Order: sequence, then structure tokens, then C-alpha cells
Amino acid sequence: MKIFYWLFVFLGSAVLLSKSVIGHHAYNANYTDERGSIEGVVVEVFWGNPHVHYYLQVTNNDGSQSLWNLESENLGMMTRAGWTIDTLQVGNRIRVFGSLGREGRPRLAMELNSVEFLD
Amino acid sequence: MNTDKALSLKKLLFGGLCLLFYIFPVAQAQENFLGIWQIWVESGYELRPAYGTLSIETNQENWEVYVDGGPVVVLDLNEENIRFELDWVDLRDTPRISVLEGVLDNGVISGHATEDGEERGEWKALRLVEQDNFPPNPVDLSGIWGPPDYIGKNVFDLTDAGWEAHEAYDPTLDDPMLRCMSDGLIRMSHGPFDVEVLNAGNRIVMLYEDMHEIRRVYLDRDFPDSIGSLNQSMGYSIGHWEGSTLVVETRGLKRSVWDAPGMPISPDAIFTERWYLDDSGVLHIEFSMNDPENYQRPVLMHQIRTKQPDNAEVSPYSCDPHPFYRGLDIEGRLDEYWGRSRYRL
Repeated sequence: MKIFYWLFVFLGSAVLLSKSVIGHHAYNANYTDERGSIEGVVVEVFWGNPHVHYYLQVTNNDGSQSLWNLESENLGMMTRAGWTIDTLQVGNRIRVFGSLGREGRPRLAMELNSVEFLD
Repeated sequence: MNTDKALSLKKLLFGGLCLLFYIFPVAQAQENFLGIWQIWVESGYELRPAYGTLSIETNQENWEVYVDGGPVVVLDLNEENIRFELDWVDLRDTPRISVLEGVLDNGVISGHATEDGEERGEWKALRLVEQDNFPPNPVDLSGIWGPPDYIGKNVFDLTDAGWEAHEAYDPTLDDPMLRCMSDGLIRMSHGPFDVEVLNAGNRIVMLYEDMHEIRRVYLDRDFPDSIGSLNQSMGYSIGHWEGSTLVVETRGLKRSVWDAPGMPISPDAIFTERWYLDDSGVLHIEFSMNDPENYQRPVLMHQIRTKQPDNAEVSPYSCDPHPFYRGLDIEGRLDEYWGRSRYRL
């Protein structure tokens, strides 16, 4: 299975154009203004508050594996957006956009409407 | 007096009068800006209308302008015009700066706001009028009120102790919400969540969607003697009616922060709210946090909430700290977290 990731970097207003709104928490301390996309396989789902998380196994360009932490919204906002616990399941191979973690940390503030199923 | 001295005195008097006539109209006109205003901006922190408090002062040498208790940068202030930078944060805690430019005409300041040259809508300010203390005339505030809108002022004048607390705080490790601990009354008072208000005789009960916190505002009693050592995230609240405005005072808060980036709260903070309905049924909550340990002047906020339909329900909120610890484990930061126990709020 060939999985890779790449980065798209936009400056300035990119964050503001994003659909992801992880407000009320330390968003700015955890994420940069840089948007990126990753591809990988969902290996764990956390469907709960304070925020829904998905954990993605990603194969890097050099063939090594990394576990990425995808942060989403609180349950109320997810539900209002039409998502359920079954929307993304363990084993799904996806591509997703979002804001990248600070200091190169493997985390992404995912944009709900950017998820693309690859299988 | 010789002729030279008399001439010098005349010159001095003439020069002084010229200076007076030059300065007086300008100073008088600028003084029209002095005072406390209620400001309204078309685009608040979520691009929705919001209110705040604009305070224009002078220290004899410079104009000092504050929005919601925090200083703003004055770009220009002359006879009829004011221009200043309003710093604020959006829902994602991203710092933003809008430039507000307005004209004073007929007692109203009005104009446009821009951000990076882009239009952000209109704004205006009306002078605040001191209100009489009307006899109690309670109104029904019960119902579910939606998430608040407000300006979201970012910068406040911290004391040395306030800076020290703010600098020591790591929002990625110390935030109590990460561990599913209550974020406290002041933070949840402006978080993006509903609040349900219930009348219960001698108390008003407020059910916060955020963390499912419960708050009781007692209408028939004073603070307990032990208030100084209460140390609770929601504090202890007592209230009374001034006309149709519910005035609530809260003390006994625990040492914490009132936003995600870490603005501090001391246990001596006094949190005062004024809850009232406007003619269209919108709920206004004006709050003031007086915390001299951390802030040079009270932090203010004016938020508005819209009533939700009668069939609305407050969503359940069960919080699980699993993703916080899972994230630290993935990032190899668990040891860093354990080592910061003395900073934990």
C-alpha cells in the first residue's frame, strides 16, 4: 500500500478560510497557519468531547510509518454537520486537509468537508 | 518697567493668547470624544454584530483609548475624527487587528472598519448614560440562549503578577479543559455554547452546555463567610434586580485562566454581570471582571445571545480526556506534562 503525504502552504488568511473551527481551545498554540494534506488509514476513532479525534497511520516518503492525530470538532458541532460515529471507521483510507501542528508535531486540525475516501 | 521689558511682556501676552486661541478650539473639540461609549461593530469575532465598551481618556499628554478594558493603539484623534487599531481574536484564538475610523457628529461616532485594507463593516458608538437605580422589576429570563456574540478584545494591561502567570502558562499542557476539568465561569460565559436559564424561586439556575456545569444565582442572601477560601471553578453567585436588569456578583473563583491562551484569574477576582433583554428579546450580558492582582483595570465584555426555540434542547456534554493523553503520547510529551504539575490549573 503506497501512502504518502504532502504539504500545501498558504500564508496569512488560510486559517480563516478553513472550515474547521476548533474554537475555545488553544487552537493557535497547537496549530500553525500552514495547511497541509495527509493520506493514511484510520486506525482509531475517538467519538466524544471535548473534540472528536481520528488517528491515522501514514507511510512517509522514506517508507517509515507515522501515527497522526487528526483533531475535529465537539460532538454537537459534528452532529450538526451531519457526521456520526460511523462516518469515518477504522480501516478507511482517506486524504484530508487541515492546519498543521506546531513544531512539526504529527497533528492536523482537520477540515470536515475536505475528507476524501481513497478506497 | 522699562520699554524693552514692556515690549517683551506684550509679546508674551500676545503669543500666549494666540496659543490659547489655537489650542482651545482643538482641545474643546477633542474633549467631545472624552468619556465612555457603547460601541457596536457590524462584524464581531465571528463576523456577526457585537457590542463593547469604548473608553476615551486623556492623561494631559496623550489620549488613551480602551475597548472592553484593554488598550488600543490610537492612530489619529482630532476635532471630529478618530482612528484606532482594535485588536481581537477570532474563535480559533488567532490574533486579528481591525482599523476603526469614525466621525463624531451629533453625539454619535460612526464609521467603517477595515482589516488589511478589506472592508469589515460599519461601527458606531453612543455615549453611555449613567442609569438610575430603579426599583426591582424582575423579568423572565428563562429559556435556552444560544452561543454569544462579542467583540473578542485580545490585549489587556496586565500587572507584573499577571504577566508572570500568563508567561508561565503553557496552553498545550496546562489548560484544565484538556483534562476535562471545568474551564470555569468566566471562560464558559463566553464560550461557543448554549446556556439554559431556569427560575427557581429564591434562586436562578443556569445550566451551561459547556462541561454541563450548573450555577445557582441566589437572590435572597449574601456571600458566605468562607467565600475567601471557596476556590471553586464556578465561584459563588448572588444576584438582585435593578429595574428589569439582573445584577449578579460572583466571588470565590479558583485561580485559573479565562481563555485558552491563558489570561489569568486570581481567587480575589470579582465578577459582575448585568443581564437584561432589549426590545427585540435579545439577551444582553455585560460583565466586568475586577482582578487587581492581574489587571491594571477591569476586563469588560458585552455579549448578546438569542433565544432558542421552545423545543430546543441543550446537547449532552460528556468529556473524556483520552485524546489529550493520546496526543501527548504520540508526540512524546508525556514526561514534559508530568513535570509541569505545579503549573496545573
